[in-house]
Amino acid sequence: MRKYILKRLLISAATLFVMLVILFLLLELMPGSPFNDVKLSPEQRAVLEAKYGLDKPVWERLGMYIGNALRGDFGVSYVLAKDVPVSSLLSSRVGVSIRIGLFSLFIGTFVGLVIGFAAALWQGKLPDKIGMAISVIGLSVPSYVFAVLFCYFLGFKWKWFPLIYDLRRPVTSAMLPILASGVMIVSVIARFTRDETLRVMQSDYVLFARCQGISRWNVIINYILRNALLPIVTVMGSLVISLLTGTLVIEGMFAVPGIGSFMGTAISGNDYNVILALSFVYSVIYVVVMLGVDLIYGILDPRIRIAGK
Amino acid sequence: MSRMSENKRRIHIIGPRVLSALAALLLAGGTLAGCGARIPSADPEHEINYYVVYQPSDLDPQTVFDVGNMPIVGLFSESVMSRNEEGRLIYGLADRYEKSEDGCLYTFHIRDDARWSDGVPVTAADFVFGWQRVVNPDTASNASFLFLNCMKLEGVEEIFYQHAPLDTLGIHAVDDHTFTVSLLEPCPYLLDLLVNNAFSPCREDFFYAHKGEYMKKAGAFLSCGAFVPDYYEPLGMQLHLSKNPYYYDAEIVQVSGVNVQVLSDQQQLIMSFEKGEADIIPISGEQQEVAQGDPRLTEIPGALIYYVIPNLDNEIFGNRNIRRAMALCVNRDEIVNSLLRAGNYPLTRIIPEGIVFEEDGTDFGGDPDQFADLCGYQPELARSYWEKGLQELGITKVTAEFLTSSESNTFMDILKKEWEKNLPGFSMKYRVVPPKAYNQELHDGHFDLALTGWSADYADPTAYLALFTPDNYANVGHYNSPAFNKVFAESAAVPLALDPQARMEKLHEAERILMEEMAVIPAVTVGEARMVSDRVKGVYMGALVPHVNFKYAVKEAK
Repeated sequence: MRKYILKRLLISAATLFVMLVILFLLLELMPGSPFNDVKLSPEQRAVLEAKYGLDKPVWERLGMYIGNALRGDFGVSYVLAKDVPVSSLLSSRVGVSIRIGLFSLFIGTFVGLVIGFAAALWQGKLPDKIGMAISVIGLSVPSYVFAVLFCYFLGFKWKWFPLIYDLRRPVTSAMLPILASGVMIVSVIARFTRDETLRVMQSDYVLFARCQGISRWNVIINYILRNALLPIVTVMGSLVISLLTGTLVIEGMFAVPGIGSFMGTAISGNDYNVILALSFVYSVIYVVVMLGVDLIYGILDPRIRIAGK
Repeated sequence: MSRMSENKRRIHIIGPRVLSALAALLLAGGTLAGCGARIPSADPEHEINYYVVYQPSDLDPQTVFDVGNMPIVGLFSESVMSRNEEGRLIYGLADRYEKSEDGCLYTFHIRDDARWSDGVPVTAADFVFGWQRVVNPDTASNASFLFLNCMKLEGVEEIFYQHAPLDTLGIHAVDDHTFTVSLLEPCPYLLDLLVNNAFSPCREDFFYAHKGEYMKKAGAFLSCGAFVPDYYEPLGMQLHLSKNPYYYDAEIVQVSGVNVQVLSDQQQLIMSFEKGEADIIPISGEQQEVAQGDPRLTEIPGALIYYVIPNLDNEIFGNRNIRRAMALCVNRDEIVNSLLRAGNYPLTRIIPEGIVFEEDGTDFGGDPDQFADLCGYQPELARSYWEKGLQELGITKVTAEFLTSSESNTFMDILKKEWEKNLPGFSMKYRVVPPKAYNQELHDGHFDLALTGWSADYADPTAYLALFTPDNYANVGHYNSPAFNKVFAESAAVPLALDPQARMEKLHEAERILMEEMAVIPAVTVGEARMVSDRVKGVYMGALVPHVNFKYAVKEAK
């Protein structure tokens, strides 16, 4: 097992390193300068570029960048927040995104599980029909549309929650973004749980348990629920990734000071260091989630461990 | 197994799971609450909730030089000159000044009650340090443009380009309350230029005590304006300012603070406004239909002009008749009414209306139809110029490449439609380049036609006309007219530089030459439209720096 974990860790580290180099070079290939004001003369721009070392050859800068990045120094922002270290810009923002993301993951998974189980237990009956209708709508309609609906009804008409994220009311104002991004999770988890539960319910060991005379609810909780839950680990990995990409829209809409809303601004501002660091953070989250899924699977399923040796 | 023991077992299994799920939820709730920041707000009822689209990216008065940040910086920085609630020039931190006879030496006297937000008096040395910071190449300030290109301040080029000592800059403290400004040439609009935040003071001891964090976090802000920021995160979505108790005009400041909220989603903006969470919101062209006829819709004129630049190095667009023909079939009304809407106006000249006022109060660009014969929508006349132009060039067809940085070109589509409809043999295609490469492409001359904008930084015709001088970097169409150059140079030199009325007449002549030669094809003046709550009165929102002023604002109770 230790060898398996070590191998996975090494692969992840190498992936991140290659990613950083590719990102750096891709940004290099993009034409233009971060100092793009129409009023700046070439001489004025040269002074600005010299200050941030942008006049040095690309390989020298790549070496310096990677050396600094390994020490946790991602440089300073040139355009978006002039001279502010990128690491400090990110640290305050990553937290907000992760908190809101985790909260929608918790709520969404819980509600999704309840709907999914209910749908499976009462297959073909009303709970199943309602549950699956919710799931289909949730999957086929983009979260942006839900966000608009929630804003209109819960925020504007009924005035339950503030319309946008407000640091003075962090709990109530986070509800709308959480709900908006939670719908997708509810739908995915509900659908997956229903299918898994039905699969387990039809398995021989459930039939065997029922034949033994164990009560219905005992079988549901100890045999069906437990076994149906395990494969959900797989979906969770991809759900975290969808949540990440979803934040790009949701955060902008609710003015959440997270990394999603930051990415768009950084790209349009051509702020090299910020784009690099943000893409790197996204890559790290992706790689860590995938590593987590691999490791959990390794623990749950011994066949994977053996294959990994 | 008895029923009781079965139940016990179930509780044993479910209990810890339910408990841990609950604990996780509580923990998540707790961390969510932990995201909150302490935003000081003494009296939220009398605070203005000011919503903006652009995220403040830099709040250092000495480095900020863009329309997104300047309105916010203007809330807490002030220079020797300022503007009143109508946008007219008034004294700021100075209470008087003297000018030498040759117009090259100014002496400013700082008012006795000018104080920083920590109660320390503002001194002449603070101005000297502030100005030196802008021109210091190590600061890499975008605002250096104002010092390098808009006036001839002594020593500035040597400092910026050759690292000469900072004390050679033409600003010197005479005593604590007096400083002098030495110019190489007279600058008739100097007082207006000085309203810009880049000319505000900066206190050396405070700057060095907060080096690296100066104007980058709450506690590292020092204000000499009406408000002082007390909550700010770089690139955050919220910024809070409270009234500055040491401001010299603190008595007339009635709002207790300003809560700046960044929000770009138009639907959210409108709902926040209607719900009463926002007091002032920007409203884009598309959304203005819902606000048609609403008295809360406020138009804010802009100093930003948009025009089509023909590349004059290109033989076809170097032909004046061709340019005239194109200018005469730009349907500016359609662009404004169907696309840009409130706050935007058709532009048929170079100097827009309502920006520059002459000594006697006349609006320099006050007659929008002055050049209607050259630039109004007259397709018939356009065709005759076009045919004349084609004949001179000996061609029958023109294919133009329009440089753009956007895939969505509604604005240009209107131009294209009219040109292709009214000018026989004309066809146009777009060349789309990434936004950040756009300016480089322009400067390298890789275009036939391009749409670009320019905004005035001070209220003087030269803020626009200087664009057309041959050595101006932004003159990307390479317009170079001996007639214009001569008139422009005369207006800048003594004696005209010291005679305001005669100088203005010369500049009118310069504008006429530009229009007759159709150096560029004027299109629109771009302003803004905002919704302003009924409860908020007395807010100045204008085209020129400081753009927004809450000093005279009042917010009525609900």
